Amino acid sequence: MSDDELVAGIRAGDAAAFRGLYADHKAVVERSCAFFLGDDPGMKEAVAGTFTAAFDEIASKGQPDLPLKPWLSILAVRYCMPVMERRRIECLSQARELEELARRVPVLQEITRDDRERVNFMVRGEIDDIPEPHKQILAMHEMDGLSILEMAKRLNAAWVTVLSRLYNARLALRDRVKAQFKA
Amino acid sequence: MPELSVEEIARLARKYLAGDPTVEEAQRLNMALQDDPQASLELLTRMQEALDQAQPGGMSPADWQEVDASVEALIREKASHSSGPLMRLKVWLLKHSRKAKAAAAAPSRPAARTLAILAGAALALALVLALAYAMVARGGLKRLQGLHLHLPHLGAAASPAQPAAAPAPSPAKPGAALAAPAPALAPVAPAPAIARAQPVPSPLPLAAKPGTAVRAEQLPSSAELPSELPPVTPMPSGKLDIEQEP
Repeated sequence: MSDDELVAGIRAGDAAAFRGLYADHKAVVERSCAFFLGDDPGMKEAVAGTFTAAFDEIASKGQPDLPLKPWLSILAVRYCMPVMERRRIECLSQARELEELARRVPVLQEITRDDRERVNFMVRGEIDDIPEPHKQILAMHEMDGLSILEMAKRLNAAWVTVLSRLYNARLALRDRVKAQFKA
Repeated sequence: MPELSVEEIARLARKYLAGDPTVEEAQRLNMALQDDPQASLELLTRMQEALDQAQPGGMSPADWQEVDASVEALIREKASHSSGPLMRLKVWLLKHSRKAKAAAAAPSRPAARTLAILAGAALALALVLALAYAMVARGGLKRLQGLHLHLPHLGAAASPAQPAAAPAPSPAKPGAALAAPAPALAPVAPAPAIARAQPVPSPLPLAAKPGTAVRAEQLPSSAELPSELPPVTPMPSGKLDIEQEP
């Protein structure tokens, strides 16, 4: 069925048109979501949410301004964004926790008063003893100063996947520092 | 919210994907995503450029089963919500027009099917022609038979009441008559007048139908009649209707 026929069918409540839209475009939606979410569990809700929104918008507003393929990709990005924000905020909170932890280490307090520098020194002191794959991701982000997008490019991984790996690496670092300094 | 320029959207997207947006920048990008398709496209394009070497893995088959089931449930719900008579009519009309379009777009009939139709038509035509020919042939045969029966009237009509005293040559079968060569018939002389048929004693023992009118001039006299008449052979074709002659 063409885009026009799918839209007309959905507006008329034709179940075959709903199924046709889903079958024809689920791969496009998955691909768009995978750039941001990868194998994150939030991927399922983003894909399902994209189609829910698509059905609702077609039923209420009719034919989209764009062809269905780019239009669905745009919708997919919108539905990825809440998952991305959730992971980004989790990472941000974790970074604050690490800064707080570094502030309580006496040696680091003597070296510098800057929170980020203290965390950087903490990572340098522990990096050799941190197992892979956490070592690599910590080195890239905390020591080389690569952004999330740069790391995604180097690791060929989705944006949220990089955040998740960074999160897990920081957890490993925190546990190690806590154990050493009884903080 | 004022509309963001393309450059501003690009800057916000770049900062967000780098992982260090301020709270305000993250909020602006989120709002732009709802209002402006350009924001989504910018994010998507940047991620595609970053990951042009390999597509990151998506959902597993088990994930797909879950999503398929969830979307199918959604479809059932939405389709059942719009299942009133008017909606059903719209769906029917939509499908009907879709079929019509598909039929219009479909390629013409295969040659084999067209040939089969033509062959069927030719066969039917041949059957009709054969039937017509058979009917005409049968009619001609009947006419021939009639001719055969009529010719003896020449004598029988003259003596309708005369019983069959002597054996007469039995009328030839139509098939046999057709097989036999037809003798040339003498042209019938125009009759000057039609007289009422008189009962004439005839040596011909053929039974004649009473009341059959025969022209008197055409009847041979008793003297002229041979003792033995040659067998009458009907005409193979053509119509010889004595009564219609002028």
